[in-house]
Amino acid sequence: MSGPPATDGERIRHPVPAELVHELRTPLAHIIGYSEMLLEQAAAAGHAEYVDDLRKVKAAGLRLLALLDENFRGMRPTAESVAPAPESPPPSR
Amino acid sequence: MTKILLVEDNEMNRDMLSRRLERKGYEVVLAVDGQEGVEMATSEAPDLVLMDMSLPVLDGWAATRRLKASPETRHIPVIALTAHAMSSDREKALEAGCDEYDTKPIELPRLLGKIEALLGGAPADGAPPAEAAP
Repeated sequence: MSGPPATDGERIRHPVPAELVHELRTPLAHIIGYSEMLLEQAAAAGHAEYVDDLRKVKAAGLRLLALLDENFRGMRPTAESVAPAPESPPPSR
Repeated sequence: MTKILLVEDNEMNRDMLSRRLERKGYEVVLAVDGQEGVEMATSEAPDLVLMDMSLPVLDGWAATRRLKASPETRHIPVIALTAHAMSSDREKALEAGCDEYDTKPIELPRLLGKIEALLGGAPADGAPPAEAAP
């Protein structure tokens, strides 16, 4: 049984979905970005056999991103909620 | 060669964007947090800064304020990069002194268009002009 849709105010009071959205968007950005990069390289090198498959990977990533944005609109995080925890190890170079 | 300082704490984002920019003919120098970004903007004198906003040590908003407060770096255009896509994020970035704003996932043609616009329309050495963003 589902209740009434959450208002913006209710969403703001629940930070976990917002953090989850950020956690999902980041690897999705990697999938989309790396597939684009490989797509450019494959096309430039004349590897047509990889181009179609890489387009599918990119399209799937963009589809997931669209679904995420459609279903969690208004649940994006604040800068504070996505800042690394103090005990997080420093990012590798 | 046009030099871009990329300030980004996420290793994969850093690797991906720096490689794609280098392929377009830009020289890319890297910083992994806002404090290092401010220091490298001074020492490297880049032509432009790409600034992630959610950074450790010193966040992108504070780092941009420092860059724009310093006579040595205030002239350097700063493009804010964030995973968020709310209009308030754009306003917050511009209020901090950022000259432009873009969201992740990066659409490279769109970002290149903004970079070239801030650099006076000149593409990176040897690179064709960016396609117009859709």
